[in-house]
Amino acid sequence: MENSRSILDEINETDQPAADQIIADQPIQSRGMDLSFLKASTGSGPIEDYLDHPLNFNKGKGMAQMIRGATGLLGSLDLAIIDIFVGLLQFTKEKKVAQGVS
Amino acid sequence: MLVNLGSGHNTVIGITRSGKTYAIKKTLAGVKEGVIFFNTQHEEMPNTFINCTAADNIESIKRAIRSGAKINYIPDLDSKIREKELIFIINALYQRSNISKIYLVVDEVHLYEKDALKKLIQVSTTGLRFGIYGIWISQRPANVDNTLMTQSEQFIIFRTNMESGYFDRYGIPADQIKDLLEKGGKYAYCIYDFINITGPFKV
Repeated sequence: MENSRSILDEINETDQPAADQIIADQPIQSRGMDLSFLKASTGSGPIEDYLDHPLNFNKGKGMAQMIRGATGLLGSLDLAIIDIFVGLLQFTKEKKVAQGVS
Repeated sequence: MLVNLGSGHNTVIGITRSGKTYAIKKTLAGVKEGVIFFNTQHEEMPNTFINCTAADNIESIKRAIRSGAKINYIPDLDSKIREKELIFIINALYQRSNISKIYLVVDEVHLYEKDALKKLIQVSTTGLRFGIYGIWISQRPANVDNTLMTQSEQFIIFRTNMESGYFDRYGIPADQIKDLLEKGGKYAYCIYDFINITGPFKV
């Protein structure tokens, strides 16, 4: 059956932003994940402030920098998930010591 | 004598009342191919042209053009809507199943920008393969997109204000044309195909 709509009808029906404009306007997304955290600012203060952080188990600058970045993303880091992750690392370390691995 | 439209796109330039639109209208009224005249300024057209607007159906227009009809398409006066209509029509011309030669005329082509201009550039660079022969009419050639100008097979030049800057840009011998047009008198025109100038002529 031939299309009997007017030109104006068809223009109004397809009057949507161009595909590239839709993509440009959307927040950064990838496969349904929100990647806006990539734009988060890092934690406050110099790296040296994080040398004595409870999570800085080797008191190193590298660890201090990572903790500062994590603070910017996650806040004060008193999160359950942090406890679980660090606890797992500690557990692994203790196990190796118990097994005599240096 | 009707204007020789050559075998490619044309750019027609001339000031208001130089006779450029009249010459093209009269020439196209006599061709055997279908014509769609995108009538930006709502000019009066010969009786042989069929008036159409956005209230019409595009398939009917395409059928008519296929059989050699001359369509006077009268777009909306709102420039944004007008541009959408132009884009829609050009897309429809590309989607014809029968790629017979047709003329797409756009009056005051310098008024079209952004997406509409991109569509015109598409016609100027690929339209011939799809049977779309563009005729770009303008009284402001300095504002016509460079691609539209350079992809034209020829310029049909009526009386202009002779801004030598843009004539030089395209290698158009301004002084020679000026002399020929003066010799030809009112409504005279010349044709420049990037190699030779012919004229003056009159319709």
